[in-house]
Amino acid sequence: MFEEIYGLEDIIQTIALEKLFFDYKEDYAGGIIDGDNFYIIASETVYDLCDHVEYLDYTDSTLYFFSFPEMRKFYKLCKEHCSKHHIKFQKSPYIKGAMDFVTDSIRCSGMRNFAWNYWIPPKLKKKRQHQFLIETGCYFQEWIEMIAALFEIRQYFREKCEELQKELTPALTIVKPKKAPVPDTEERKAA
Amino acid sequence: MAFVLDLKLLRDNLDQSSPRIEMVGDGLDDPELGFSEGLIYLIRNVIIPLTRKEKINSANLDFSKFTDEDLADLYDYYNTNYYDGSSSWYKLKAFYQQCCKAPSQAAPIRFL
Repeated sequence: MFEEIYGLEDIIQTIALEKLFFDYKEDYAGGIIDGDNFYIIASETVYDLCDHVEYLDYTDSTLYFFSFPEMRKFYKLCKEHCSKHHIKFQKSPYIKGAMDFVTDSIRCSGMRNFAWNYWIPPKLKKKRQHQFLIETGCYFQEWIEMIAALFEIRQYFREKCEELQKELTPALTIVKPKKAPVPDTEERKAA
Repeated sequence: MAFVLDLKLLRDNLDQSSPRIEMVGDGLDDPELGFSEGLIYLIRNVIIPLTRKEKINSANLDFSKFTDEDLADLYDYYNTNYYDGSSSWYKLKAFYQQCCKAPSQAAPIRFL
């Protein structure tokens, strides 16, 4: 009757996080829901997704640099696609589509107290691999929304990579081996 | 710690209170309450086990049965029906616990 559930808000957020894991992580088996570990699990998930983290003392904010392997592969395939179809890299429908998708998913994510930047690399250089950046302020709390947006973006690039790969792979035509003509029975007998 | 209990006030307030105790159990399906199926699923599989101090494994939850909105509604449901954080709630809880701890005493019975 008077049993209090301590940290229910964190427990609910952990359930939301687990839901994301089941949706986006392959072979995720689940585990005991513990609200106390929510912030650890959430921050670890973001750290796993990003390439590099920087803490800025003067603004009390954290910079997360992302360049998913799917994202790098996508740009590589886009280059191939553009050269095949003689389209300028910046004007490719795939590039424009990716820009729109990332912008929409970040804007509709419901995150607050953050800044972000996403740029299209003019040239694929090893030195500048980071194409997506999120800066979170000291009052940032929307971890679920951030992780959901990141999973969504990664999934988008994964799907587009498959799409591009299919488009770039030349269609294979199955050539059936010709059957040797069977000699008539009379000819066979004569032989 | 001594408590002065106004029985008349307690009885009157109990009569006027919303049917909270009934909502915990099987009455959740009542369409008059207006709970979504997802919320009912979450109450039965999250809130009730947690009040019993049971642990929840995410592998046992069917995530297709509720939405993000249901999760947001779950917190409101708990605050409305279980715990409101008010000082009167804490006082009532303290009184309840005091009663639970109190040794049972046989009341004097008079036979006419």
